[in-house]
Amino acid sequence: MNDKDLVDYTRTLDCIHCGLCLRTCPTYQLTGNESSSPRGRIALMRAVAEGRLDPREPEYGEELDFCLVCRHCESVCPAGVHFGEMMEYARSTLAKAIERPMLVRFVRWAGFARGLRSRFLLARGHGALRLAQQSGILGTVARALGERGASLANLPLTPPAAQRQLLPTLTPAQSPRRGEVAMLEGCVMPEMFGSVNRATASVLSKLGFDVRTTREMVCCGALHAHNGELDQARELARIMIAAFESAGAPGEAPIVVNSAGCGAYMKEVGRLLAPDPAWSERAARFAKRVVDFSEFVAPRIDPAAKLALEREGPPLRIAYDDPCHLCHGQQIRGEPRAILDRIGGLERREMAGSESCCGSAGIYSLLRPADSQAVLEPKLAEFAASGATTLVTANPGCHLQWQMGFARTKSDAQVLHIAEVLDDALPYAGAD
Amino acid sequence: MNERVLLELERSFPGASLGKARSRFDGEETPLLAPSSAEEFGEALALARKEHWVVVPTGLGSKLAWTRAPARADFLLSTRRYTGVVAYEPGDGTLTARSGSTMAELRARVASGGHFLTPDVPRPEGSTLGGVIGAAQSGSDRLRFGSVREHVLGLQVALGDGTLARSGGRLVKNVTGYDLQRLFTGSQGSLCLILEASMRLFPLPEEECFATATAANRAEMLRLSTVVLDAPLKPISLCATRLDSAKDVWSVNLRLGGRREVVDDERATLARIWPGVSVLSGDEARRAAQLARDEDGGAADGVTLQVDVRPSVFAAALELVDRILVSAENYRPRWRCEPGLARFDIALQRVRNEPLLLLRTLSSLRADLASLAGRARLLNAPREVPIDAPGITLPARALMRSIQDRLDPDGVFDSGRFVESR
Amino acid sequence: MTLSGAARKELSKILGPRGVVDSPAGRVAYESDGLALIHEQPEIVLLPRTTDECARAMRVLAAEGLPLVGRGAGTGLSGGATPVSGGAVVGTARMRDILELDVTDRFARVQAGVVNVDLTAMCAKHGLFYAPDPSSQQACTIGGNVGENSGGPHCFKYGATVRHVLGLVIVMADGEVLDLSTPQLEPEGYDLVGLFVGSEGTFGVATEVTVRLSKKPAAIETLLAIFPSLDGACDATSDLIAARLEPSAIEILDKLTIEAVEASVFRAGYPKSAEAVLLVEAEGSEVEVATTVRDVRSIARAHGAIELRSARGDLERKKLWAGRKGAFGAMGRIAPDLYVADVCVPRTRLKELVLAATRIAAEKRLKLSNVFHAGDGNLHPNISYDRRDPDEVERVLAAGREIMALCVAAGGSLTGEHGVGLEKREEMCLAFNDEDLRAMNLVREAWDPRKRLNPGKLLPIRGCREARSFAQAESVHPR
Repeated sequence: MNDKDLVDYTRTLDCIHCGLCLRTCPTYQLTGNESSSPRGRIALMRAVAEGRLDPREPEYGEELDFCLVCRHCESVCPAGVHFGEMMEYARSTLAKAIERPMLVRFVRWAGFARGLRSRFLLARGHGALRLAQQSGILGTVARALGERGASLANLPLTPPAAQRQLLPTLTPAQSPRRGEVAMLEGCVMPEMFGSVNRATASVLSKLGFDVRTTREMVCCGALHAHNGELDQARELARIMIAAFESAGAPGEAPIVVNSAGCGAYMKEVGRLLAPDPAWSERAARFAKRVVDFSEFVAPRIDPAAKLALEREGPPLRIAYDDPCHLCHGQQIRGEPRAILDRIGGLERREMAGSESCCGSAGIYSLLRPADSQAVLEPKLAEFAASGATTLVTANPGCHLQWQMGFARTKSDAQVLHIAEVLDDALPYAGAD
Repeated sequence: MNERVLLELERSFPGASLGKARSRFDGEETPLLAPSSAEEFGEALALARKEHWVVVPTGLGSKLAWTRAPARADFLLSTRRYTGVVAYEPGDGTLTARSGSTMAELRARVASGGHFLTPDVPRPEGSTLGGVIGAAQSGSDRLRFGSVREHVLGLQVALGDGTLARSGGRLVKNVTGYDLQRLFTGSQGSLCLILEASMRLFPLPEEECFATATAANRAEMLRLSTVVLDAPLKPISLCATRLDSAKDVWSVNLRLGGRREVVDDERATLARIWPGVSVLSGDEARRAAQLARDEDGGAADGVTLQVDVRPSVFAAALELVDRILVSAENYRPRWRCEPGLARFDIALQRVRNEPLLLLRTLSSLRADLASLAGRARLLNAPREVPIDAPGITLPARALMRSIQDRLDPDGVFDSGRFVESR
Repeated sequence: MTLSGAARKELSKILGPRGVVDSPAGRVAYESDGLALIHEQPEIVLLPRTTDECARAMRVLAAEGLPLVGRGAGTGLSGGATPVSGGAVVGTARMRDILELDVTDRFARVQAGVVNVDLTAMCAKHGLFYAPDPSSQQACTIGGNVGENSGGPHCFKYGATVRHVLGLVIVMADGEVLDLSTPQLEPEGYDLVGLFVGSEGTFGVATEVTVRLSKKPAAIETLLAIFPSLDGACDATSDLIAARLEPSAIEILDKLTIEAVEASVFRAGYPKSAEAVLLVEAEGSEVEVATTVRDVRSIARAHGAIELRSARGDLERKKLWAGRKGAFGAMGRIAPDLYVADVCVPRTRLKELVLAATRIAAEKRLKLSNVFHAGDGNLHPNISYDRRDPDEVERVLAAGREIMALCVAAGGSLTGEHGVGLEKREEMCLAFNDEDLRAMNLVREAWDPRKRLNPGKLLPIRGCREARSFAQAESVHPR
């Protein structure tokens, strides 16, 4: 492969070197090293394309791995550089050009090519995880792994099998019925956050929508795209598009996604499949249907409805943390806050730096636990400073990251998905 | 006086005015050469370099004694005949003038264009532009406009070997090259002679106010000052004087100025915070301000102690110095302070006869002030008092000497009056 | 000149693993600053955390005789932080601490790597702010601002960086620490701090800065005046100055710039139909603001403004300003590269020189847009180009030189805030003669006798007379 093809060279020329991205980049804030910033990474890519830097230099690959692809830089870049896209491309081409160690290749294959694509393996895998957690084996393994194992030890307890079920393919609307939507269940969500999926379907149903899911797909491919497996991502995208075309919901029904990472990816699937003439139009139509949970729900809550949490005592003090792929990937900031502010019994505290990455970044927290924790650290401090007791998020990766962070720092703060909070507050139709 | 120097100057500069100046330190006479062209200045310095003479730059000599007595001065090189406006741009608010021009003549010139030239120094007819810049003299309007250092846009200077060099320019905003004008401003004639300066001008206030309040003691003076500084006012100057060393009675002068509507608004505020104090306006106010400026004088004559401290410890510093001076009552100090700048000047009289006592007082004062992060410097000090600037660290001192060495390797300006002789 | 192994080891010991970058990938990231046209890979990059680490590291470099270049966030536009071949880069990115904040006496001591906007954010709750606000303030560092004597729109009222620096801690070329950090009303001896500001990294590396903090004004109002021609906007500005009005900022954007901004993430609701936009801000007491705004409005209308909008609230004002501040970045959409001139002219000749610059560009078939600090006479004629077209590059640089020459001849200067650096080094001969430059060189040698700090920047390599005769010879025998 020509060095020039290792990076999206034309895009690297968009960068005007203004440096406005530095302040928002979590990895740059950690190291102060230019090559750990978006501007620096683009300089590296440019140097590779122009033959001034050997892509086999270990630090090149290391910097590509170090990046969280949180895309905060895109939100502030005046030149409109599509940095996330460039990173995905560069990671993907480098993965093909450089041979990784055998063990790494095996683990990647097991995870990306097999695990994430199979309900069976996901279910069994999580069952085994629960067993390992309850028996204490996981704790032992984590300690033995040292730094690498740090994140494992703080994983929340995997729910029991009864709670790790898929949703029914149709959750009927409560009356009055307003329409129909499709919903993404996700790969890991049903296992670790089944309650969130159930809450999501419940909210949609309470708002008067039939909720359809599909058993024809497992993983949307976001994790693959972000980790240098663009070919696999495309394959999964095609499976997903076909699955939702025949999901029962009419072809144009919105596809509601409660995972910010998946949602951002799914909205850009048109670009992913654009070079493929057979799929480009279908992908574009599909992408137009994708809508984030908050984005969909916020304008559809009856302004007259009284929403209140079912609890006694003083209001629940919460802080909303913007998932990167929601605020930077989809530019959605107002709707989640608007929803939370409608709910009685809730006191929302604004948390400084809520738009900066929590360090989850897909599977980054598992691959690079030390860096991931270092990125989360200032946010834990901001959360404490806000005086909130509950963290509300809209993405499973962030959800997990915050739970692990609280466990690690022995905090008794809890984490909720916005769908769970809203479900608690929305009355059943007909009830007052 | 070195007769040979006088003869040589007479011979080489027949057209230039040549006289004798009497030193205020020991009554000695020194030749004074006053050329009228830039080339002549260059030649005079080149001559000095050739003959290994030491030259002291001066304008009209009003601030010559600010620094200590010269260890050596073969002749004074004066700009008093090198006068005139080079360029005045009313539309751009800048003035370029020859350094021998008096502040008074320059202010009159730019007033015709609706501008004024800061700093508002006492007795402006006796101060030259070059002298004000060379000494970085403060005016009574420093509170509003800041130090003269901020308003020198560019300079042309004559160096020790006679070459002429420019830095900066005539623009209000400029970062082309090193700001050597920042080095030369306040260098007290130890690096160069200032020939020409470009200055930033300010709009002449449409309307002015002047008010004087009386305070029965220091605490009241501080209170009157604080209410002014905390109020939404932008005073041009705020100055408190205590003329009688025996009585702790203060006179607090406040000068306001600017656009008519703004000053009207400020006058209303003043009526609230200084109730019952009479306020002058218009020309009356201007005259009163000028009188106050010239009378209080700042550090014009006599031994003056100038103290700068951090604003938050201003009151404490006043008290401390008062205590120290009370014990040396023969000083009959005249106090003048600018609360907005946290600075005060104390003119000490009858102190020439007792330099050692002065020195001791100064040392103990400095030691105590150090705890308040304050500085004291002595202006017009008697010859016996050595300059010491304890605040200058060794690396800084070495650097300053290095700058002197490079710009003036032959020591033409090294009269030993500033920082230290080499 | 290379760094010995022993020296590298010593540096690693002093600075720790995160403090030394010497891998090929790591060094490539530092090869240029905001002047992307020129790049040079450094031998090694050092990122100290404290003044002490910096001093010890620089002592090692001095022993090795290695040249070095200081770097803040690398956003400078004149090549001031472009590395020198075989030299080190000493970066302040890890020196980000706020050391002291004194609200009563209104100053702060910060490490040089603190980002400009973070400084203001830090003291905002005390009703204070840090006045110099370069367009790059979300990225640039205080130390970088010190090196270039940076300006920004509000320096029209508040003055450039040098007015707000009360003290410095400087590491000299040989590693000696010069502590001038105590704020004083009058410097003792020479004003070394004032002299250092704007010295573009050739005198030393500033590691700590004592800054003056300003009190937030009681009232602020921003006015946007829309003009059907650039002339009108320029004339209005000249009139504002001549009328002795004192707004806190006067900025002009032209049509091309407006288009770029509106298409970018910093869109601010600028109308697409305008040929020029005049942005004026008034600060001070309520009465001051009211009178200034009233007078600005009437002057703007007198010069043909077709629409006037004003903003009082923080959010609205911020949006109007964000467009101006993001202008350079937004221009990046128009063409791959942007040449940003930084000339200064007397305010009385604003229109004349803006038009002349446009003419020069047109003659060379180049696209020129204007966004500038009209209040200070600081123009930014910006020329879009593609660096992959060598002929276009030649024309752009020639246009830049002509514009600079024209402005200097009209009583202006080469640079108002970006500095001379590499970019305008040879043009110094337009503004100064050999004697002037000799004096500057002498002062530089006093600070850095071995000329190891940012060598090849600011002062021309050749003498001016030599350069002129060389140019003449070239014109006689063209290549």
